[in-house]
Amino acid sequence: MIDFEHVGLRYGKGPEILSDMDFSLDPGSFHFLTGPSGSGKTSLMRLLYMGHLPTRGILKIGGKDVTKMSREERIMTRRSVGVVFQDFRLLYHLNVYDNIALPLRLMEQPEHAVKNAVDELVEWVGLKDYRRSSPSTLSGGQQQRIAIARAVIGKPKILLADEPTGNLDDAIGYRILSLFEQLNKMGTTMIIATHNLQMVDRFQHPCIILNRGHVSVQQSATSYSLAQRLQEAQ
Amino acid sequence: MAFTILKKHFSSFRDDIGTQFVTTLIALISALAVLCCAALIQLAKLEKRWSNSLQGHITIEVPALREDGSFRSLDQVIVMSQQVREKLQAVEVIKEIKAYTKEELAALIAPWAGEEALLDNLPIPGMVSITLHSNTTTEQALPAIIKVLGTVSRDLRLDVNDRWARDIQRLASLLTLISAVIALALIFSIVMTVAGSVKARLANQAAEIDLLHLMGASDEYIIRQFQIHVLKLVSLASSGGLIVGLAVLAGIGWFLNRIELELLNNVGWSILQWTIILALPVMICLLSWFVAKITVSNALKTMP
Repeated sequence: MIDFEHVGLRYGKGPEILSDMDFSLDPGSFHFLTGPSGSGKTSLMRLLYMGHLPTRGILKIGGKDVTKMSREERIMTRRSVGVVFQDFRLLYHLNVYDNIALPLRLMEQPEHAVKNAVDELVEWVGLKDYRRSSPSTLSGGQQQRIAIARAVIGKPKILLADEPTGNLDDAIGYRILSLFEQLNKMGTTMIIATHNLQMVDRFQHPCIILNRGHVSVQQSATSYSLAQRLQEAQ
Repeated sequence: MAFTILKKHFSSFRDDIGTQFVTTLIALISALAVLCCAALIQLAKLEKRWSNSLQGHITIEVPALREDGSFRSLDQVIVMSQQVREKLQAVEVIKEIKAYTKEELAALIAPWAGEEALLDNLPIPGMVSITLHSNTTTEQALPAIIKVLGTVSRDLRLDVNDRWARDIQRLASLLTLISAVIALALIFSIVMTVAGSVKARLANQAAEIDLLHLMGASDEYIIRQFQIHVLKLVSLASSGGLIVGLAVLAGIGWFLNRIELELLNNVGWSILQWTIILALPVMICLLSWFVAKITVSNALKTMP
């Protein structure tokens, strides 16, 4: 599903942010992405949702090299990738309903299909009573859930979430991770960038550990070993 | 429907001071474009009319003052004019010939000398007006006419209107050229205004566009949002500009009628000319539509 072959990324003429990334993620897998601040987690996420293209190496998503995709193919691939941004990136002039509906409207889906999907999702993320509210009137946790609902409404094959539990208390954080597990069981490939080692420990999924732009994949994570690895990285 | 989607996706597409400024600017440019287009149309018509009315015409003056300094009476001038007319009738290239009568000359000088002027006491020249056949140029006709005139008197004067016509044509052509340059400058101004406005919006909404792009919005979709916005803005502005332009044209027409300027008399408008003027807002909208497309398309090309 996702193949990194000696992938490197630099911004402009600056130094390489990510170097020699070489790993694969199977379809339907669930991975945490972790590493110290500045290790390149967000840059790796940007590569995955094609906000940037690799400056060297080959990145394949769904078996296709992203640098060789036509513009149209890249647009279609992006539609199969849902993203929960760290800063949510909600449109604050729109209400909760319209924010969640956005990906389907971009795909020019009929309005009745949009309504059915949004109604189902607002209930799933517990925001049924806030459909017509402006996101700016809601708490950080509620905004996070809008971002999650928006990311999953298009039934993506891959879901990327950048610190999805960062603004949530533990109880809601676990609930959100449980929602991600439900999606994963339905076949969605999950990559969750997080600092929350307790969360990583509790959900026991493989970890992609970033260390100064280099990567290693640890199949079974424990909070102890992760903490050790992160300490080494720092 | 499309505009609803637009409003839903782009917060700053809502009317603001920037939008009002651009609307006013485009309305002003559109009004100028209407005036410029009207000037182009009318100058072309006037050039043609002036040329038609002056080309192929020659005026012969029978001077009241002889070469020896003595005066001819008006009756003598009229008699000589008739002689000229009769002699010239034999010249084949002449289509029409008219010798002015005493009454006609009196009518011509009445605005200056008054209705009651004693014409016999004034040195009034006679006039013979010649119209040539349309396939004959003045240069071709002149030798034969001069030869005939020489048999009547040596002090007759020829006024070849072609020289006037050429000067007037040159003036009209120059004015047409100036109008065309102004029209091009206006088109350029519209292109720059729309492109600048779209670029400002792109910068203002970079985060929203990036988000839509990452969510898989097609380039055509994003371009269309901007095109619809530009179309709404420009159609409103150019229609307003058309109304202002037409009002100014009506004012100019009223003023010209009031001063009774013979040179511009009976400057009418055909259905085709009205269509061109009324279609200007549509043309401005189409131009803006393409400018918006190219500007947004270029901006999106920088995104992977």
